[in-house]
Amino acid sequence: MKCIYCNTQLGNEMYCPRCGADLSLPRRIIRISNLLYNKGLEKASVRDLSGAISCLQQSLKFNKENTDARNLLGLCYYETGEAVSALCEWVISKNIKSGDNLAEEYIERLQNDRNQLDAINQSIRKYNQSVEYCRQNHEDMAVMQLKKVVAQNPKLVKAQQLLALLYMKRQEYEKARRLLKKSLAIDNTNTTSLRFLTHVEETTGRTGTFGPRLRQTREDETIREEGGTLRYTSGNETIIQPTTFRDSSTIATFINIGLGILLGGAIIWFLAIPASRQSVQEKANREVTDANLKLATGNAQLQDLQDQLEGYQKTAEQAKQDKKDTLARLDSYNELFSAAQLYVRGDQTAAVDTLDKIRAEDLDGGAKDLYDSLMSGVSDTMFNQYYNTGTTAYVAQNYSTAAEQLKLAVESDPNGEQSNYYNALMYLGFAYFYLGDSTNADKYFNELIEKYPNQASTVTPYLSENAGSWWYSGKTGTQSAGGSQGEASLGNGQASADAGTAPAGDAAQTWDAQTGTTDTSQTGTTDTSQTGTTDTTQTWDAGTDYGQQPAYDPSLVAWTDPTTGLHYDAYGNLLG
Amino acid sequence: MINYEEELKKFHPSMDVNEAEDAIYSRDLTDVTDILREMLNDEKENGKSK
Repeated sequence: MKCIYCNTQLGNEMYCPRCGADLSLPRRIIRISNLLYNKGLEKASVRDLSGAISCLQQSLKFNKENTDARNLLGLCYYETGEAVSALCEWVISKNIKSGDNLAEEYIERLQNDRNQLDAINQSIRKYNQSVEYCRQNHEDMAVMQLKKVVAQNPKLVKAQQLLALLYMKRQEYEKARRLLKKSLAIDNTNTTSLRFLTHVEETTGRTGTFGPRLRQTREDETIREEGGTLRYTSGNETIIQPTTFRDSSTIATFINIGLGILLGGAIIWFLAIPASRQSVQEKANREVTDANLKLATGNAQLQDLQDQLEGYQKTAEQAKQDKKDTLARLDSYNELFSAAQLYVRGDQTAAVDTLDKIRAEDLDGGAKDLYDSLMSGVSDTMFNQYYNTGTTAYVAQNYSTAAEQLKLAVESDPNGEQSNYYNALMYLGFAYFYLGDSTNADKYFNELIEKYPNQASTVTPYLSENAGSWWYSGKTGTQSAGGSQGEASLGNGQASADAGTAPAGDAAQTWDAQTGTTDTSQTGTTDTSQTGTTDTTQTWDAGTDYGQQPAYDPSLVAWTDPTTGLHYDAYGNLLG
Repeated sequence: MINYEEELKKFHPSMDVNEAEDAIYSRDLTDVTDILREMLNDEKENGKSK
């Protein structure tokens, strides 16, 4: 504080130490200013901005240097949207007291936020323009502008009040009410807002927080109350409002809570649980699918392993077979060496037996050549051996053995070079003939016919196509069906019987086995006699003359050809 | 009752930012202390003149 007379800086004295002036009055003025500031502060704290502004203005009238009051006044102006007025107060405050002054901070904040300052400035300009529109009765334009202002600067109370006034003029009381409520939220004791709101409530009949209900009927509005509702017209709108509304009671609250719980449970039961079940099922299905896939994979692997095992088994069996074949080949080679040894020693018979055991397909290369050489060397011996064995069996009527051996004899001489090849072929055919094997019999008979066409008549009657009819070349003869064919023979050469019946048992000869070396060079035919049972109606013709037969020892005859009547010894050599 | 015209007259344009400087300069910052001082000065002058 300074002395008002001499501007001396003072403390708490009641008199100026310099000029001695009485300071009671100045101090009292300052106290009043402070008191008004305090009141203004109280009002501002409860948002009574209009009252706060009034008190603060009065405080400044008492003491213009009350910077606190001035700063607070600027705040109140700013809060009601009067940013420029607020700025003026803060500038003045800053000039009165430059240091330690909140006004500096407020000014700095405002200047730093240029966007907000520009927005406030624009809103103020639009508001001023709206006022001008209203005075020019361009109320529509004013409403449009004021809407923008309210949106841009919601704190500008005057704009809200002006717009509310325009709505009231249009009888749009609800809109006016909302705006006035907003303005009262900023400044709750603004007299203008209160007056307007009171008017709106009086007009609409709704009560707010301001006094009792007042209902008045107006000339241009009718308010009707029907069945608990309030009906009135507001401009072009008909508004129907319930007259009374009570909040729900405690029981209703619990009922609502219970219904909510039931609804929530129903939602969970019908929506959440099926979804969770489905997800669980899908998971289970996926697991089953995976398990099946693994099982299929395992089965496939098992099958592969089994196939491999079978392959290995086949390989093992093949190896065994190969080993067996190798051993057989080894045996064949050993037999071949043995056969070669025997042949070198001159034991051709043993060599033939040994060669018989050898499988020709096991040999190759030099061994095959050796085998072929041995075979060709012992072929004669082999043929004679087989031939003699076969004929012996034939004589003994062991036709199966005879066929087997004679077949080997025939096969051992594929070129038919042996002298007894013809006989071997013929006896072989007859062996099959007597065995009843007409197929093989015809085969060898046809082969004989092919190789020895001159002798075709010998076997032609025995072909299956000629079965049952007997005739002999050079002789005619018939045989009744009761005759035995087993031992019928032909009379060849010098027939001992004339035409007529052949005596049974005539010149019957007995077999006499003879030992000795076989003479394969014998040729000729022998006159044969007939044994066995024959019918008396049989007649004989002269058989084919095979040439004059040399003399022979009858005791050497081991066998007589039933067809040709030739005699052979035990070794198959032709006698005579 | 609200009279639109009467109420409209009460609405005045707000100060622009550009007008702040002029408003500050033209502000009358006379307070009671200034009035008291002036009164005391007038009284002194009257006393001297007598």
